[in-house]
Amino acid sequence: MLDRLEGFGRFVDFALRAILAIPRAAIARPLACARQFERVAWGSLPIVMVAGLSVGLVTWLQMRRLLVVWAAQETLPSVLAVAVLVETGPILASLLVAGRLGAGLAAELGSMTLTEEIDAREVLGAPTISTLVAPRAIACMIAVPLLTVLMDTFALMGGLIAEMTAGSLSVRAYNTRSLDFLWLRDIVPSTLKTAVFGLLIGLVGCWTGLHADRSTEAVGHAATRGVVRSMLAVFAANIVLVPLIQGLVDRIGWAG
Amino acid sequence: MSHEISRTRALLNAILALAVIAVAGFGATRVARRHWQGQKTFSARVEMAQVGGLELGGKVRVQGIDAGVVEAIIPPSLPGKPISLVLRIDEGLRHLVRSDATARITAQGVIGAKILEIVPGRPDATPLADGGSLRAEPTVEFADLLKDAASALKRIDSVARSAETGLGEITAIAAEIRAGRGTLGKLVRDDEAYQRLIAMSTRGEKALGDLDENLAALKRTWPISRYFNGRGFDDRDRVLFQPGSERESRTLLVDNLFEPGRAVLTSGGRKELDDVARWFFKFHRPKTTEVVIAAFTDDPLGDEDLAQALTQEQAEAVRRYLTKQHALDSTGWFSSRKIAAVGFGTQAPRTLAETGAVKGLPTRRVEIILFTPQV
Repeated sequence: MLDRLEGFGRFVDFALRAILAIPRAAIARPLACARQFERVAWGSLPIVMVAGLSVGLVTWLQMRRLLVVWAAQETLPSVLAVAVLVETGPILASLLVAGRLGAGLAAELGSMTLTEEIDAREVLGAPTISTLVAPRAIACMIAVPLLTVLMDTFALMGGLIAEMTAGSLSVRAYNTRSLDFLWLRDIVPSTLKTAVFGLLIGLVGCWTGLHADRSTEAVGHAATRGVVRSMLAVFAANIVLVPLIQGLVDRIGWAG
Repeated sequence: MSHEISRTRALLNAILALAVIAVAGFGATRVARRHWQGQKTFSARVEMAQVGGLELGGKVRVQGIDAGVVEAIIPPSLPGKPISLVLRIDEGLRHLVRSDATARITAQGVIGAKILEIVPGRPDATPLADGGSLRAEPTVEFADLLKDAASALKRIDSVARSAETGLGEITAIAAEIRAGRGTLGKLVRDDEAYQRLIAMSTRGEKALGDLDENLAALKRTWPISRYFNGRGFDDRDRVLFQPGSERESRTLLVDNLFEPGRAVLTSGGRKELDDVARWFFKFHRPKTTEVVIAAFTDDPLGDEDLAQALTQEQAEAVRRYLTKQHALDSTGWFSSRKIAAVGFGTQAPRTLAETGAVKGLPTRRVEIILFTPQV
């Protein structure tokens, strides 16, 4: 128990140092950051697009069945847009990235630890946190909100495709109706909060890889743990962030 | 070992990021415009005693057009003072909102959110100035409607009581006649009894007239109106006479539908009704289309009342089949189509004969008539 607490304390220290190193890394190593961004964004693009389409289609199918009973199927786009844009889109995009990157980062840094590359870099004067961790954290932080926007777009398109094939609304009606219940005060914070998720995914993935044991088996193990931990981090952060954002929005009286 | 990438790839990344940000910006603008944050708007104020659950960001409509949002709800500083609402309304509709326009709060459907409806003023009034005040109309609540219905019932009660008094007087007279204190001739000669009879009958007539009027009012009062809507008609003479509606009809022979002299559908009859339902659903029918099922016969059965009862039951059997089996009456969530079933016996109503709609039709028939009001 105490060990776990100690481990968590070390992670917090690591995270704080990484966050402090982020601005410098962004200025000093923009191309390294770009490379990591490329890896996160382009790599996750197909799965996010497919997931988005599927979420839109399936939500449409399930909801329509319920709404038809009440002859309220024309409210479907409004409900679908809120369901996707406010919570499903952001959390699903974050989880998909956590699944890909949690394992990827932990395995990459784990094998770098195993081959003593990390130690070599430290000796050569390239500190791990500013050269390896910070660019990855920045890349995740920027990529996840962008992927969330794509996920939302594709989910709405999935709903639109379903509506065109099997529904009764016109494209124009679908577009207008999907805006009915949307408010900037809901969707802007919930999209931006995924930057925090991205940051956590990057940090947790790197941390897990750097602290893997030095054996081939341990690298595989670290990959699994990286996925589990980064997903847990996303869920936990969501629980903290949602009430915080709602409180803040109410406090400043954002009416948009 | 290089962790850096070429220029082209970096540019490609930048393009991806910018494209996604552009999509996000486009979406955000559309959401903002939906709530009148991008367009040119003007503001107006309304003071209301109570807002009935209207929320911040609630919709504002001008003559039913979505036109703006409720920007602020300012509670009064002292109890008893009105609540101040600040509205943001599309500049394009400003010429409709005059200085004598009124605002009232209505519900969007039964479970929908509350909205603020603006009724534009007279065209000769000056347009509302930016930040100007609108007059508020009091909000109608369900509780008030119920109160109205209750008071209508009370009035009917008192009318019924006075009718009862009239009947009591008739009984008294009948008793006197039976007691031999007066034959009919004596009644005519006895001035007092005669005057009493006159007074009683005028009173009774008046009471019945009142009752009629109150019943008609009650029939249109929620929730009692629902019963009459469910029955499909409240005036049998007028049910076939709807000059403002387009009329379509199908005629079926009674002998094909029912066993002779009964109101039980035969299997052949059911098939014919299935055909009718298919005909009905072939086109999209508006919610306002009403269906009238009218049954006629030429056999008086020795008694006009019996013929009427039989045709009424036949019409109702058809109505039951069409609603239970084909849901002809379903138009959606909380509404239903009016389907009236009326048996006319051997006598078609005067209104029908006058329109000339009966010519060439068999006399033993069930007519299924659709009335679509033309707007």
